[in-house]
Amino acid sequence: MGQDFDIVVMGASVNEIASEAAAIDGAATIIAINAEHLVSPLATNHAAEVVALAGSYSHILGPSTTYGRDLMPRIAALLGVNQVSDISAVEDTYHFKRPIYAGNAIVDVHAPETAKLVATVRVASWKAAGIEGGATVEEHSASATASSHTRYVKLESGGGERPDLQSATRVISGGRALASKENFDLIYELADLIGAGAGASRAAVDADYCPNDMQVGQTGKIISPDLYIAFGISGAIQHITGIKDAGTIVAVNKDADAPIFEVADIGLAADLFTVIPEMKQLLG
Amino acid sequence: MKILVGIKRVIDYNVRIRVKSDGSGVDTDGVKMSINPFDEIALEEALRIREAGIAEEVIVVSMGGNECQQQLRTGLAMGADRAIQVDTSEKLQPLTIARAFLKLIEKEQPGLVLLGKQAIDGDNSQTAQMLAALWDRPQATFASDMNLSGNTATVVREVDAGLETIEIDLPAVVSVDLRLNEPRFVKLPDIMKAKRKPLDVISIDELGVTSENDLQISHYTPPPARGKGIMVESAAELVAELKTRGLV
Repeated sequence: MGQDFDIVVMGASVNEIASEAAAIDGAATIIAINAEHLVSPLATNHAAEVVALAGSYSHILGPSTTYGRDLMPRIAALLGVNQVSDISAVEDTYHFKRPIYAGNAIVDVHAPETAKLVATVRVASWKAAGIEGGATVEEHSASATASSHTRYVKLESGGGERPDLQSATRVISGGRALASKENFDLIYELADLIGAGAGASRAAVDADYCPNDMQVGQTGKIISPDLYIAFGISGAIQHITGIKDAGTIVAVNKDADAPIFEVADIGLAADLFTVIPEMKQLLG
Repeated sequence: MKILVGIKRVIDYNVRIRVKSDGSGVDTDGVKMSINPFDEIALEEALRIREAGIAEEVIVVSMGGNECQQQLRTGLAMGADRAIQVDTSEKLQPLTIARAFLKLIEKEQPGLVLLGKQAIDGDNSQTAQMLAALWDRPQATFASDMNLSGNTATVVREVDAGLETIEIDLPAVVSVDLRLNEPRFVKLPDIMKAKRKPLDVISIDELGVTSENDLQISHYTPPPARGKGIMVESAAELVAELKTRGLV
């Protein structure tokens, strides 16, 4: 949109992150709010802070991550406005494109120019901004106290030191055909060999072969790596929607009629249990 | 306590979506319509809570024209006690839906509102959060597990980093995710029984809710097509191709 923007960071000791954020191209001010009750990403607490700051802004944006998707609509409703979800392209200051129906249709959205614009941005549609900027960091104290009706208990992480699925440039994914949690080691080993992130189809997660944070698809993560290799994934619409913007899609599936071959740039109709070991040998 | 469950009539998730050639929308002629899959899971959860003796009434709500009575009847057949159709010929946006829901909450005083995390047509994922904000109550979104104890709910949420657990005080709004449960099938005797369960119709005007500052949505287009792909015959050919393209 070619405008200056400010970034707000909330937590208990966010000054380090705030300084990192200050390097983002185009950022004018980083507003750092330090308060104990803001450490946990509870929408009820974070929304209160953003709403308190909202007055001077025309546009309030968040990422289409689970954090942003949980938080932004609460902000929109408190400000009395509708929200544009998953902006994939900007046509003008109040005019956007976004995917609907699991990405099977793209629509134009015109937001009213007389109201604040609250939106989430579809992360997979955008390249990261440069980091040559020099914003100022402003420390603010929290405007609200902790909400008493919502309490954070804990986070259980899938863990691992693999590249984060959402930002990895290459991702290896496994589907239900892997048939077991142990067999998913094939996916992990290949991923580690080339320094890729590891993903999975919904079916694999449902079958408990791997944790939910690996799920790629309409109701999981929507990603756009340069390379996406899908092993034993049939290619349901809902999965494809998670990878539509990948640079190169590779599919390996025993079933030559699997729908994934309709979107794959490179397809190999073969057994993944043979192909993966062969690939490991060739890439090792 | 009472549980309100919102259900939306959507194109069935198995249907191949086709954009109309004039760009005015998506083709719905003769297409199978169903309860939004996430809403079905929300209803199933409400029924289980009632069966556990924690709630006495499950009310299923849909907003739209008379065609959504089809989905309400399915909800009643699944086991809901009562249905409410908020009648409107407009395509409501989440903020307006949330406002209408709030009016129903004022009348019904539920202890819990269960919604699907997103509708598979709009993919907005907004209604639950907006309703919680307007109601000034907790929101627990993307729930994959839920336990009620007295006036508190412990909810496990599916988030990008893994599984997050939060505790919320009732009344509250929870939006449900795929792995919360597997909805029951509707049996023929229940479909017959459902015909006798109450289905009340109230117009959105009667609720005193109007749309404001709606987003204008237009120019539906199919997604850009990807170029045609190639097939290779072996792992060796695949790796060679990836190397040529500089991907490994």
